[in-house]
Amino acid sequence: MTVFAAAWAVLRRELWLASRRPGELLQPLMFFLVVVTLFPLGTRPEPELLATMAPAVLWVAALLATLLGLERLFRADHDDGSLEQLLLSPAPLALLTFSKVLAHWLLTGLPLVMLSPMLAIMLGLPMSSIGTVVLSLLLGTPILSLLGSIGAALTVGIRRGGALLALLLLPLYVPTLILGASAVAAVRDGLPADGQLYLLGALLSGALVLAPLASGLALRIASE
Amino acid sequence: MSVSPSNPSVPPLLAVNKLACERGGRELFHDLRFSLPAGAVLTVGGANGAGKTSLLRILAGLALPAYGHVLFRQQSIARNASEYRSVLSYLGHQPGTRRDETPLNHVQNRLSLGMLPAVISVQDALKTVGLARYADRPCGELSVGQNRRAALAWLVARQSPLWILDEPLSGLDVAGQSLVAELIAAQVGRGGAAVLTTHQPLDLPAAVPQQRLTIGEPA
Repeated sequence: MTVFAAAWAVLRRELWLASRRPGELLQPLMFFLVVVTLFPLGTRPEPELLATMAPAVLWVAALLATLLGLERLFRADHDDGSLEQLLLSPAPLALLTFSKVLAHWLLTGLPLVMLSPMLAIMLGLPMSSIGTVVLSLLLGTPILSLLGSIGAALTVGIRRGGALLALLLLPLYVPTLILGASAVAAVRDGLPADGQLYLLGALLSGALVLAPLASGLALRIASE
Repeated sequence: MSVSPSNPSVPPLLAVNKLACERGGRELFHDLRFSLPAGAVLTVGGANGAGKTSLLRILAGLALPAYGHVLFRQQSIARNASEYRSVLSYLGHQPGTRRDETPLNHVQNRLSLGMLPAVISVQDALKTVGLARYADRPCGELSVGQNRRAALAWLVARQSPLWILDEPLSGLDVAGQSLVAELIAAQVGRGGAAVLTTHQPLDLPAAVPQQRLTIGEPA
């Protein structure tokens, strides 16, 4: 029995539990779809206007959709006592929280990434920018999940912490939003987006290392 | 605060000295001390709100004491946290089962988290606690008592040296309560130790060495 067996057990349990409730799984995806669809209805249906707004619309919708499932990341475990099992595991808590975050990303972030090309076309983005839309979300959505886990861990002991969680996290999401949306906007305007994507990659590397540690510590404090 | 005397020549498995606990600015207990040798049971008593659960959470390392240390094999549990967690089985107020998971999944997952190989197969452990027929049913369809039995199956399969059990009898029927007594007697027989709180009398065999600790003012 190794540390990785424990981390794998956490991941497998999350994925298995999610598969029992496919309806809940679809919620962030449907939210993403509906929010992106609502924007054109609220403005003039001009292709140029839509293409101008598209990077921001896609990214803000992805950000809010990620936020939707985050409150539940540790809440159910806290309520039924299985959080104590995580805290009392001899395996490093950072690794176990990483498993939880990975499960969250696989269940919400990855489906958003896969749906994004269709929505990008719907918003009138040129075909040449689809790759950047996907790549920026592929680098950006894990950052959202990782940062989100810190907020979810901090608010785990608070009843109805959803609004607080959003207030806590949205400012932290600003750099990711700016970089992601501007990468898409740059490519739409025929400019290179390498700089933004490299910076997103750097943010992701930092978050991968630091966020699980921080959320582990936050969980210990919040559940004391 | 009273502790029945224990033999000082045996090195204690779990010991606390001058332990104090505060909750919300209120002192629950102070100057608490006991030393529990391997092969013995410590029953913690006290009125509601006296701090029994707080004490058990401190002993498990889930909460920090306001003052004092918890020593496992004469080493602070805060220093050797990972090592301590690999020999500790803590059962809290809630059984820790999720509605959608089955008792079989629950015990398997929990064993992997504990990183200690199962001494008894999960199937046999479930049979011991009387859940063999329900091993593949979602815990949400089972009763509160059956959920608690699923958590007990994990204790049975894991057989770690130290058990910390918060109200292990709650929600269990008469047969379940004597099952808990049997499990604890077997744990002591193996040379393990158990710390538990309970409001119901626990019928342990007379041969099991028992210590009693009462926290708070005697009612």
